[in-house]
Amino acid sequence: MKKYCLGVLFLSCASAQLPAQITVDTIGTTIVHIETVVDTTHFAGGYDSGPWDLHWGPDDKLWYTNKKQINRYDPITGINDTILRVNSGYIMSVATHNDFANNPYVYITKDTSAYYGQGTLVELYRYTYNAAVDSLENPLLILNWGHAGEHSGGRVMVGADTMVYVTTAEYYWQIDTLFNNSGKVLRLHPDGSIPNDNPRPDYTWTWGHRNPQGIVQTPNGNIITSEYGMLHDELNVILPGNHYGWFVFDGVSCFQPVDTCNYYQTFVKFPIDIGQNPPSGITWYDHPSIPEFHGILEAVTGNNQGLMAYTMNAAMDSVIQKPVI
Amino acid sequence: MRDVVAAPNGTVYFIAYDRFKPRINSISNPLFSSLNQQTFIHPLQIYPNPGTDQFQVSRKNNNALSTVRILNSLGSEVLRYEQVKFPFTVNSSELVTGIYFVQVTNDRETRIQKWIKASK
Repeated sequence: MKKYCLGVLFLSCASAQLPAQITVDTIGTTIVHIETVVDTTHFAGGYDSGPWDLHWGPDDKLWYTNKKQINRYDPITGINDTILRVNSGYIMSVATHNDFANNPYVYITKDTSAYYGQGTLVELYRYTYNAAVDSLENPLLILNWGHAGEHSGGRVMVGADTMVYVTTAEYYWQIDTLFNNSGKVLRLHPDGSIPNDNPRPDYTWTWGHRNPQGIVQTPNGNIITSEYGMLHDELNVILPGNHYGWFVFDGVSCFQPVDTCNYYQTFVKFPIDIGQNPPSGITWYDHPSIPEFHGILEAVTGNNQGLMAYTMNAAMDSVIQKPVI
Repeated sequence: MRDVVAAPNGTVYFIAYDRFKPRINSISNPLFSSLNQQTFIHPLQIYPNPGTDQFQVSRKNNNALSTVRILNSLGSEVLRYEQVKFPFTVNSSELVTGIYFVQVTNDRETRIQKWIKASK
């Protein structure tokens, strides 16, 4: 139902212009202002540059990753500053502990090289926030996985259960073994240890994922991922111990021998939505100011850049209004 | 786009043009705070809507003198009337076509509703 043309808004949808790069438009019946709050001058430019993750921080600032840095944008003052700078690699995702006052931990995923490089690793680190100097320190490397270019996974989230959840991409159809971190949603304690209630004695929470790049927890506790598929992109409700189909099923399409398909059919957890708009990050929106956004908001990458708004059912585990292009 | 996040105040931030001209944009409803402060029990009656050169605003069961403001889509005031009794006719002949908001306020209450000026 709803595919808002925000990706191309700056080219064709603008109906009025204000100073300071504010564009006025409508989303459904709601009038909105669209403003560039951090512009290109903050970023190096080029194929592998720029922010990969946005996170609303415990200091009521917008935290964003910026290649070798984590920056913050203060919406009150408009000031950008830097809270972390690393010497090498490409910082992808950032998340803060949800009891930050008592556990001042910041989790980041970082590519060991350029993001779109081949044969490099994505690493998960925990940093500790030092309020005295307002910066991150004491990096603790927790785990890593291999990836090929943009086929990376890499989104990190701290759940309501205070566990850390990380999405990872599969890597050349590896055979799954204990502590193989590829193609998974991983779950770990804030200190990096393995929770006793994980479905098996490693970080694995779910498996059979191709390239999940978005993860969000809904207000009722459901965990939903967005997954960049081969031909069919997915939204999945994450339930522990489940296999989500890859590399037998892509969406609900099986591309393996029929006997393999029939076998996997009996236990695969299928998506709640299948589309062809490569997704990256997702978030939950239920604020009354833009009712048209209620549900899951998805950042679409690739050729169909834009935002998608999925309306969910009351149980927040099923899509009841599917976006269209 | 690479990511999107919602702030507690309802503003959405998203990364646009992530590969070549990356920037972070916000989306917000500039009229939400006004719309959220509706205290009238009954909505305004605005007719015709959409309209052209004039439209009538009336209120049910309330004859208190009020201020009527017409705001454009940017939230800026384009017309203002003081000490108004209802029903009240607004002369909209000088307004360009587009979306407007009618805000009615008296000592105790306020309400804002959308009105559209159509082309003739």
